[in-house]
Amino acid sequence: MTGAGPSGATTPAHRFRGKRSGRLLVGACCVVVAAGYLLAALDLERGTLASSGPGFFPVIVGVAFLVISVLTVVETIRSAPDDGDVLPPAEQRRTVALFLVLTAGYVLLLPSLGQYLAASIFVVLVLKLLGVRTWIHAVGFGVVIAVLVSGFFIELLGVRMPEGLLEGLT
Amino acid sequence: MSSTLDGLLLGFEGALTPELLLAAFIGALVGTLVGLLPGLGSVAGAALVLPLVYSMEPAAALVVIAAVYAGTMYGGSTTSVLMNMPGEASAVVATFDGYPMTRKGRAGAALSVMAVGSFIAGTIALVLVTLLAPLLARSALAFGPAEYFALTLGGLLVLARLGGGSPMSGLLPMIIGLALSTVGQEAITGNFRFTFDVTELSVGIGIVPIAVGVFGIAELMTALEDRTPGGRRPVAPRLRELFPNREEWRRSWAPWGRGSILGFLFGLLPGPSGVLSTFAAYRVEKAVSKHRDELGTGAVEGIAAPEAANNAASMGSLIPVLSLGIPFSATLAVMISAMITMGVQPGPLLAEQRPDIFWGVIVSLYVANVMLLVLNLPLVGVWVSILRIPQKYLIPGIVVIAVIGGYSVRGSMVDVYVLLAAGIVGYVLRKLDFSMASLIIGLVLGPLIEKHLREGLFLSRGELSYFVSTPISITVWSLVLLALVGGAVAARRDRLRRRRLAAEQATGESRSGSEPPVAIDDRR
Repeated sequence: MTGAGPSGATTPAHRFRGKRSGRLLVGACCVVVAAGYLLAALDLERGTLASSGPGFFPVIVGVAFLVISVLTVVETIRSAPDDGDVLPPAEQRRTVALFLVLTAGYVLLLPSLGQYLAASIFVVLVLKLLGVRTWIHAVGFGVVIAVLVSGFFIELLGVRMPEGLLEGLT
Repeated sequence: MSSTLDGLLLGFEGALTPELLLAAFIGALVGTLVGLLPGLGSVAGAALVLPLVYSMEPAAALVVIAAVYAGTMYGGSTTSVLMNMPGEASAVVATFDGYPMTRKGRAGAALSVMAVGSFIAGTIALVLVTLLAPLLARSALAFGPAEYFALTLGGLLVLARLGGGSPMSGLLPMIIGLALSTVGQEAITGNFRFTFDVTELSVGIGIVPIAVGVFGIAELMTALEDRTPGGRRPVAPRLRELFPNREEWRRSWAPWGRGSILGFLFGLLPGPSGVLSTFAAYRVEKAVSKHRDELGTGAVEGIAAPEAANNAASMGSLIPVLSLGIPFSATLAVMISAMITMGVQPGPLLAEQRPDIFWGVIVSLYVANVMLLVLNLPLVGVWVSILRIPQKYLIPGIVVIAVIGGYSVRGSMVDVYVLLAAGIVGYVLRKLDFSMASLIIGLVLGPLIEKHLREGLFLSRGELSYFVSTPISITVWSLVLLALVGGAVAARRDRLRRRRLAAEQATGESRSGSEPPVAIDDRR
């Protein structure tokens, strides 16, 4: 499993870290997803070569997906070790994770709160996360940014967005 | 030839109407703004304007997308020159000499050389597109499923393989894109595939949420990792500094010409033509320029040639899109998706059936370059003011725009969930050096590949040899094979060279009793 790397002087622990372990994990996840995709594709009508059905192409894609996913794992195992750490330092990692949580919250609350409210809450919290000093500043700038951006698209360009709690008012 | 000239005149006639001029103006402005903003490049920019352009006439809509494309490239290079921060991959080369020029107080001249170079490259490329596109479109009328299958699948494979990194760095995202393209109602029998009883998925997975997620949200997450307190403060060049001096003009002409031709040729090929052409143009200057020794220290050739190449490549890449309906870059994949949504079928019949659109798009990309030249230099102060806005105020605003863009195409929350998921997956894959352009192009080309494969099998009654039965398909597959094998051989040689160097370094270090050897990442 550990196989002699090009330098031939690395330990298993050294070989699987940073980008390598990440790519290995991605490859392994894709093997599972590809297997699931292929199984679902096999349930579809494949037809014959001359008269192919809806499952014909997905089966080819599924097989290729599985093969490429396995090859990604193999390629990673065979590649030279790297020293690159894929994860950012702890503070930035926390920022990225919280940003992601806030974005997910915005997306999940959008249908019930509506664009104006959900976007305002999101922008205020992200501003605070990214270092705006006081809550007053964050709320002031956040609401202005969210309302201006949303209003530009909704009121000026006529883009339809969920109205949520403000339904009928906007 | 006369019909080509007629077409070109028709294109100018259309593009010079107030409506399309306004579309080019807005597109160029929005594009430049998008290129300046952190996290957004031409793919996300083009995808974000899609919801807004669907209500327009097809010609105007495509003009906006083309102008956004040109504008993002200009905006991306502006941050390279002023702040040493490339807006996107194709703007990396602009930092090599652009930023040193800024440090010498020649930022204005660098921006002017870029803008004039883009205009000249656009002019040269326009002539070449005018000559080549109708010729190719006429030849393509004789293409059948075998030829199209070879062009779509072969092009996708070359693009995925030559996109940089290890073989699987391009192939894994490509196959994910192809798998995603099979979701939804199948075109021939109308059966639903992989929809899991979610009604919204019956129309398939949209390109907008995937493109904005992978190229927008993911990029913002990366930008969050890289926040330097305070950041760099760009200085606005004064108006009189905008004009290159006589020496700079004189030294720019030849690089503009060389870069334009080289970029145009790269644009015709599958692959990241913007990035490849800029690096290739820089290398050519390193080899042939009289001032090659000054490159990297603020030489005007180092900004003139790559910028011309980048622009000519974007014009050149319109040829396969308009003549064959095949996009070789992620931004053009977005454009194709817009065309199809608006009922315009790109391909060899487009020049004949919709000459207004065929020629309108070609001319409007050129007009957009003129707009950039006329507008962006006087507006450089505005762009600098935007660059001075701290990222913390821009990032949440961009997410709000992305969510609006994701939702508004089809009014579906599922698209917003897809956008979020694409952002997370895109962030992880980019961090691990996977090339994401092949995912987008796989998503767009997937239905075409399936269509040509199944049509070919139907016509040949299941005979697989049909796909290599015509001179064109044999030629295309031979070129694909050559590109793939050539790429693999070159990568292997590079890897062996690096290993040899690493081994030599290791031997030297172990003799001197220093630290253990540091192995070189062979994916690069």
